[in-house]
Amino acid sequence: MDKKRKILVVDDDESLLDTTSTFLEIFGFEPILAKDGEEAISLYKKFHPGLVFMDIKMPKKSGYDAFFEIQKEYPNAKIIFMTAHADYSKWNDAKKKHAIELIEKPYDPEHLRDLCTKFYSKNNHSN
Amino acid sequence: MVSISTEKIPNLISYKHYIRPTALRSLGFDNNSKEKTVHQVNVENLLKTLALKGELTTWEMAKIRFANDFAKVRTKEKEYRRLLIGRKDRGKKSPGLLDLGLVMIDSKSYKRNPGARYRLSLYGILFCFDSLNFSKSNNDKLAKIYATLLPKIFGKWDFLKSIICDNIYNIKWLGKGLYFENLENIDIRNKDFFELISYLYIKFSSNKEQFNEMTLSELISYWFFITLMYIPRLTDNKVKNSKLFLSLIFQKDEDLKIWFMAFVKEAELYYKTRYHTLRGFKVFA
Repeated sequence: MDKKRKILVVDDDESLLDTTSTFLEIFGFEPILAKDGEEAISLYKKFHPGLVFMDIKMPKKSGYDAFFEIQKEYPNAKIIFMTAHADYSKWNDAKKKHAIELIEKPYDPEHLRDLCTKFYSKNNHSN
Repeated sequence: MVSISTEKIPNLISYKHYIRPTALRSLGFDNNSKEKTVHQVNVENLLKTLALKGELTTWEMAKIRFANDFAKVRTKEKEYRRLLIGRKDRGKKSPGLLDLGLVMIDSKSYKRNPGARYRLSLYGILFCFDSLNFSKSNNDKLAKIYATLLPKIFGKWDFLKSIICDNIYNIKWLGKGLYFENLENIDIRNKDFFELISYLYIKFSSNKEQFNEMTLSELISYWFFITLMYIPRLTDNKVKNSKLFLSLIFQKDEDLKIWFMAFVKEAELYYKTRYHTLRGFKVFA
């Protein structure tokens, strides 16, 4: 059976969340949406997505903190950060723990597509 | 045949931020569980019937399922009417498909007792493309039935499909709310597309108080043809010439070409006026 590859998108800006998820659907992925760091952690545990796009500045829990928490339990979690504030404060720590990339918003949808397809062709994830 | 309405309706921003999310929530479509609720199945059946059969009374809708078993038809009819007009329970009103603007009254039927004939609204059509996971053949059927509502797309469905293939189904992305009105969030490198889609939002945001199905039909049609310069590239990065599909269509359909190029001219004039306003800007005389 052709199972769509799940991607978790985490952002507190609903309009961006909506747009990103539609683009991911256009690219042929199955987006799962979370509005803050805490929701991201619980959805990650529930769906085990192959890839996560995570905003950094969010209410309740920042993207970095959510990543470190997910990473404790799932060391192979693959995360790409998205930021509108050029927040590189914990980027080096995150990079050491295998965060893939940090992209700045506004993002180019074609770049998003290339990142996803490159990631999945390299890792050949089924989920 | 379905006829276009001149009644006032909400604008596309309202579809994106209110109609669609409310419909998804109140009709049970945002439920993450794999099992569909009975309510969701009933709503789906009703929308599907209207999508694939066109305008019908509640009696005719119910008869499709139960033919001549009148007791069952009557029960089903009541259920459909409740879904259409919503219901009030302990002072709380649940919106029906008419309240949400997904379905509208097309005409009156005088066959039996006088009754309203219902059909999908343009928002209902967008919602079906978004949420009902129709097969391609069902989408094709819907397009033929509702051709009068979207003459530039549904009315030319087979012709367009022969040129742009599966890109004909791109309209579903508008159903999902990809209106491109929030361009501050994305960095679009295709400048032709960027300027035209920006102008589309400007043009139609100025007449949001006077929206009706004709205006909405124009807006959807412009969106569809403008995004042919962008969405195909997102799904297939081998598409190098962003205007390829438009040029192939316009070579064969002069009417579409004239209509679209008038829009481009209008955009050009609009930006020229803005440019001249800024060019003449002076603080000190």
